[in-house]
Amino acid sequence: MEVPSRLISPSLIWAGVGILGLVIWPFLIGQYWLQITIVSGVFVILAVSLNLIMGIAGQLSIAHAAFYGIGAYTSALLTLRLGLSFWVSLPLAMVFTAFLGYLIAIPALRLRGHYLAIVTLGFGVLIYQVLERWESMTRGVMALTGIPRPTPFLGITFRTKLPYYYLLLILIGIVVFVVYRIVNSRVGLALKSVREDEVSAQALGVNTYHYKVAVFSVGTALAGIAGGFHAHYQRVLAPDEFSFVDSVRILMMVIVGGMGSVSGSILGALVLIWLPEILRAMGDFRDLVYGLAVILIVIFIPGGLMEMFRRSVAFLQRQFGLSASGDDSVVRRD
Amino acid sequence: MDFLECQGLTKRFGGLHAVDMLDFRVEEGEILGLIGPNGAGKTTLFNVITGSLVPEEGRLTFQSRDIVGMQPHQIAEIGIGRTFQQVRLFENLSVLENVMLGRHCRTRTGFLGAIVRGAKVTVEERQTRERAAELLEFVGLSGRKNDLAKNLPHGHQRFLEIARAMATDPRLLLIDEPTSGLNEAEGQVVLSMLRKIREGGVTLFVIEHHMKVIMNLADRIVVLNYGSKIFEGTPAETQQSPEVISAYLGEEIE
Ligand SMILES: Nc1ncnc2c1ncn2[C@@H]1O[C@H](COP(=O)(O)OP(=O)(O)OP(=O)(O)O)[C@@H](O)[C@H]1O
Ligand SMILES: [Mg+2]
Repeated sequence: MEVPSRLISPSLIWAGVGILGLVIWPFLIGQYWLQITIVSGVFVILAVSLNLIMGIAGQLSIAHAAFYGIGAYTSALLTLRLGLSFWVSLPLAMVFTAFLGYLIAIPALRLRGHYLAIVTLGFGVLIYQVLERWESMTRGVMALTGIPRPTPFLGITFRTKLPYYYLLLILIGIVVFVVYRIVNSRVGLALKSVREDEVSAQALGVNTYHYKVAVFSVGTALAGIAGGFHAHYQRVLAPDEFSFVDSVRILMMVIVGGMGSVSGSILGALVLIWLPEILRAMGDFRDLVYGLAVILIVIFIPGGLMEMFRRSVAFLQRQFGLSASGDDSVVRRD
Repeated sequence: MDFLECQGLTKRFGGLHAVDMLDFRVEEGEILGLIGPNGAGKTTLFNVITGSLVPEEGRLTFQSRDIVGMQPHQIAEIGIGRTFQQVRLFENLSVLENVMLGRHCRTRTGFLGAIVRGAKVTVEERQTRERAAELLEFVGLSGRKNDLAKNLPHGHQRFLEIARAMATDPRLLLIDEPTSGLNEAEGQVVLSMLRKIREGGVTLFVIEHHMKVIMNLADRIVVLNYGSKIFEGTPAETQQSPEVISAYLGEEIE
């Protein structure tokens, strides 16, 4: 039973403050930082979706950037060659990316062990080669240019960064909502059981193969959304954004944020995009400091940044005698 | 109607006949014990029944239905539950979540349902929680429902595994060495749980390495050695059987 007073619970107030903050954020920063914000937002979608596959379901994929690229090129080419509107090409790109994810998952997940890691590694390399060599379609290293902006929507035109920012905010909202709902459900439990122990999961009736294929398809679909947005925002695509290194980068975001934690993945993406920018002042030492920071986080905070954050909050609450909020009858939420 | 029946069941690992031309039945409502020395093929038999291993030969029927070749998750669906010799919990999930997962084969919510989260889904989730809470009450772990499974002491982990298996609403429950690693008191707790489960209408098929333990629990006992059935009878008969005694030679019976 909902108690009326809970309608304005602290978490709702925090959510309101957070959304308000996100809405006014572009007015507090310059164009340069808005650019960084948008890039990091795209990676938030990528990290959250990879976390669903890797952190929640425990399936190691080293091709997330490839699926991101497939989404980007698919949407770009659908608008360029078929003249479709962005609002049509974006969902189509998502569906096509998911379909390729599904095709890869079927054989890779039938086998036990680390086959998915190996197959996705190969797939990532393959996609990179296709993007680079299939010049008649992708224009290869010469880059695909002239990708159209989204057509005006409800009178909103995409001439400046601002509407892109709000569009991205909505996409992130949808992605995070979808992932959060999946994670905190019967399906989410089943996915976690696959991660924890497949033999036990099956003994309880979990069709582990079905769930692995499904979560991979959903995760890659979301990467396709990130790609579609990116294509029409940047309006130029070259293969080198979608390489093995980029896949590893997304993987690092999930690990740094904390495997299995949705909020951790968001934090991981933000930190790993913003940190190099903030470290820019350090000049030549930037990469060194960045690499060191990542290594230190992974080694000394095995649970990731979100875990560290939770512990710090708990510590402060104990120090200042505040009781933890929230009722303890609820199962831990991720 | 026959409950669980197997005929000429054979499972080989290379040249090793882990289960060899085995014939036996489990009758509905009973507690059947399965004993035998180390490596006799007891766990292998459970793995074959639950679909983790596919037998080379033989018939295996559950409620008159051929179950050879069925996937483990389908076996759970038709009402055969199991626990493992070495406890296998979802270590990084809470105690409650472990039991909730047992409801998986009795619930429906899919990806779309989870995202939309309509009334049906919330009702199903509440029922899952309630049933899981009941089972935790039954095994005495209500107070630890929010702890991670890996943080429970070994004895409690065994209790939890039983609760989780019971959450699947099994008709037949296969239990592999329920008292292994438990102290005397914990062992007694498990045995009384198993008796209550049987009273609730669930048929039990229990592996025990030690005859002493199974004597008090089982109605009948099947004895396995080198994959073959060497004896079948009541606990009293089993204890006196010369074949059984010689199979256990060098081990302690009583
Ligand atoms: N997956 C496997 N591959 C190869 N050999 C196996 C496999 N599983 C079991 N075995 C062998 O099959 C035989 C029977 O093993 P099983 O585990 O069924 O015995 P058990 O009766 O359960 O023994 P214990 O009392 O030690 O648990 C043993 O010789 C074992 O080494
Ligand atoms: Mg065994």
